[in-house]
Amino acid sequence: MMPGPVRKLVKLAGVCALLALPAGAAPEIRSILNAASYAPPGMPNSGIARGSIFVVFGTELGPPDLRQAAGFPLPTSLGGTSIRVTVDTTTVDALLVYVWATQVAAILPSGTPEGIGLMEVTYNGRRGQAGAFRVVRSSPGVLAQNQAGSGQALALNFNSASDQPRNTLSRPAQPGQVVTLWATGLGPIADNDAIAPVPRDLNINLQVLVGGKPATVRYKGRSGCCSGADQIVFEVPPGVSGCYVPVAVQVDNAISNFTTISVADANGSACTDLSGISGPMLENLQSGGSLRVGSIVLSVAKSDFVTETGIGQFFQADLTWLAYQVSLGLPSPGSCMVNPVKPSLAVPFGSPPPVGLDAGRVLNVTGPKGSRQMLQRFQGLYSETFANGTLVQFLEPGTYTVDSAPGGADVGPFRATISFPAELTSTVQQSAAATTVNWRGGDPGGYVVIQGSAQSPAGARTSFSCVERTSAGQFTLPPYVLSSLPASPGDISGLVAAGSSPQNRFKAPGLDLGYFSFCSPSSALCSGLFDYYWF
Amino acid sequence: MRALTVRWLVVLGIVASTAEPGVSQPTVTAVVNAASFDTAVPRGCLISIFGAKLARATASAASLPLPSKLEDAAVLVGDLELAAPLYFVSPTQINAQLPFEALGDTLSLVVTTAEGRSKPFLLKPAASGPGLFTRDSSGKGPVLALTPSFQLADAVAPGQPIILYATGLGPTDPPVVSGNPGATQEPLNRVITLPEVFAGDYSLPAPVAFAGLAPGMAGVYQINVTPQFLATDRLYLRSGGKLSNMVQLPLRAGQNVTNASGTIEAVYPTAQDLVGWTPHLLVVKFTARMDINATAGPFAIAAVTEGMASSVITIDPANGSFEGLVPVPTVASRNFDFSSSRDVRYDLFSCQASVAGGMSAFPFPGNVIPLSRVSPQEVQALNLLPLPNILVPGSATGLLRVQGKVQRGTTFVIDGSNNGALSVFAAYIPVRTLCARDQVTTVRLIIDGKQVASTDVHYTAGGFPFPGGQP
Repeated sequence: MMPGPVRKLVKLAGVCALLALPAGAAPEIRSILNAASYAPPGMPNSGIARGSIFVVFGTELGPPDLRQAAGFPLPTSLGGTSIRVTVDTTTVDALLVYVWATQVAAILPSGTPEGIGLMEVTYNGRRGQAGAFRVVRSSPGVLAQNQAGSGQALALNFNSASDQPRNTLSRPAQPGQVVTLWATGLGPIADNDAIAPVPRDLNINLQVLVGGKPATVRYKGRSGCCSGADQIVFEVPPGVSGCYVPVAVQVDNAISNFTTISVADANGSACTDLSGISGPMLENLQSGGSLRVGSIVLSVAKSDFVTETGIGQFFQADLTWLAYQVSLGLPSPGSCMVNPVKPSLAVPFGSPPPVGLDAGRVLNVTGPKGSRQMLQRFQGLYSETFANGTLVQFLEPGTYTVDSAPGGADVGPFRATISFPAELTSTVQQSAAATTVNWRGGDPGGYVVIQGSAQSPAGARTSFSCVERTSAGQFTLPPYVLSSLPASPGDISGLVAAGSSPQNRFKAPGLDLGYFSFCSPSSALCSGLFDYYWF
Repeated sequence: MRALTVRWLVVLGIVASTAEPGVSQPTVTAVVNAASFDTAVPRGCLISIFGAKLARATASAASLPLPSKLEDAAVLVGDLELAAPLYFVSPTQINAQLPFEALGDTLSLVVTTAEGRSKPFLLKPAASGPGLFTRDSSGKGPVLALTPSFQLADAVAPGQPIILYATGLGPTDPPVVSGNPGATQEPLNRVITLPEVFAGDYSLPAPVAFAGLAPGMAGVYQINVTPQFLATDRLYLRSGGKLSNMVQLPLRAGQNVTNASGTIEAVYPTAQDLVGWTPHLLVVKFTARMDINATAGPFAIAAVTEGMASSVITIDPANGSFEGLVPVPTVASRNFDFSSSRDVRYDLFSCQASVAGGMSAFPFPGNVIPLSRVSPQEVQALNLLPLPNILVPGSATGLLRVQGKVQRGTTFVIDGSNNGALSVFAAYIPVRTLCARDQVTTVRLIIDGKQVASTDVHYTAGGFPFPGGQP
């Protein structure tokens, strides 16, 4: 039996005009993601929940210009685009929210069976190759202000029914205040997803973790405005504060993406980052502003020889440089972030250098072994190698003072003091059930940062950062973090960091912030605020 | 239709008939395009999985849609662990289809048997990865080409329609579910990205009348094409910017010459050379001699390599002229500066075991090769070659156009004394298996559609023996 095209070829052989034309562009699905979390394939929360909003990325998915559904009921065909989902023998039509050539948002009807689903996008009569995804009952995704599932949550501080401003770095929630999160994927509803939803508390096992602490939840269900869009109303637990307080939502065993809210200090109206930078200052930095910062680091490095150095940097820095220098965005103490803003270990290529500030010709360093000087090498940069040898000669344990008198053109005279803490040593116990970090030493007034990463068998990779007070002595990765990682606890790799600030800040005329820190001999990496130790 | 399908599956090498006992947990060592053996595999592509203990015994699919399990073996792909449709399983090789439906930038591939699961093999699906099936299923040599009546095409002449079989040509319209066969009647499953077919070292792609899923076959594409000019027997596809394996099209010998003969000699590399980088230089000398018939029409003399460049001389006795286009390195590539070349140069001294299995090597920064990776013999060989007078954008070789006179009823000779500019050329030869130590490439001389000489060039590649890291 001869297949069709060959017959045609024989019949018309020699007719050179008969050339095959490509079938033409057809929809191609690249990814199917929760519309709020954007959790990629391979992550534990990458399933699409019944009744949730999802986004499809790809090509030729819809018209070149964005088309949005005009209202209720939501259509199953919009701008020439339709989406069909098949699970086993059941096929449903997705409800379209908006369509575009490279992105489509739609609602997976609540009646969709759970299991492996095959999604087909049809545009202008052309049906594309199916893409597979997992349909689940619940897969919470918290909407983020960056519309990509990370960073600050789309959360509202409840002051009154008519006054619910968005939670921002300069408008933090107060401890105990009611906050509303926007989300999708809490679970199916009994009503028709195509029509305006009726706000009704879903009978689900939901927990909101704020700064690692469970919050009292007042409402969990559809919003009154929008199909597929959920709201979670909760109270900020006491004892939680910071500009980047992690928020995660758990429904049964499904954990959402990690976002943050800002919570004011107990005695103030502003939040403060671990670096000591206030919320309004951070917001100014995010808007392109800069801060005048000083950083003095005394360091002892031991290998075959002991090298003792001092570095002082005084500069007007933007967000990029500050993130590198002082590890901005770490979670509040006692909590963890998954896929957090990681400390930048190198300034991105192409970033403009910071503007150096003159803090005087010399910085005088005085300690138990006498005084030394750090000379200004360039505008704002001070450095000195105090000693090289087989033993520590200058930076022995003790209290050190830096004096800049008479100061410089940009930074006035200052005195900064630090007492070298006992060297931090840590051990990590990993088992199939838990990962616990124990440590000794370090600055009892500082913090310890535990960072790590995990890779799934399918190649998906994510990282986490946890912060605990140094005085606590140990930290166990909480179950909600382990459940968010695509690998077993035994496959986690990472490092622990010990911080000596923010207590070791100093003030100087002309500076917004000053840091004075010490890098211990066993540091794997030393930044202005934290030493890192690999485990 | 089913009987035909199974017959051709055997021909394509997708199913085979060896049996070996298997024991214990499976291990995957490589995943390649089942036709070309290239590691770039797009979704929907037929793949060959190599390893150990991949199945208890040998088994082949007996029906369509393809099964997700054969004997005790299954192949699970991606985080959703979609079952790949299976054509053939054996203890050391599985032929399967990479599911179209598996999404993600990185896909894990796991083989499961009654004895356990393999460790995940991670692969990054390629956007495109065409591969042509060959007669011996090796990915090289004579292509599997059929006549319109489904007979093996043994002697193809210009203007003759042929059928080629390939995989890795991507999605179709209308689409098919992985493991399902192409439609046997309209609407046929035509490819969305039409492949270009380059045959016979002709500069233009041959007209394609149909390209789509082969009716009644899963993951196998059929291309109906009519080559227009065949100076050589070389054939390859380009789809989505990606080239397929280079294969050979069996040609019908011409009637334009008699007493055709020739010799081929590889100047560089030789068995004594140590090649330090890839794709690497091949310098060839050849001689050719033939008596041109009194009624001869146009024909070609070609020295062909496994790389993209070959030396082609077209003879037009009726007009009394010939023209040769001889590939020779550009000035930049003679200085080992390949920064303007499309092909990335890899340092074979950096060969090391890859995390995903197999070997990997680092590219040279800026695509410029340091002299420490250049052998003295290589420099000497380059000095034999003239400069090009035609530049080819993005290529490390240009062309030297050589023109001359020729008459019917005379003897035409190419050697060091006659038409000497035609007798030496260069090409850059891709290494089929990166970091493999002992390499061989074949150079052939074709006169008027008939191969008159062939030589295998053996050499040693890489800075071995240092398979685990830097030398």
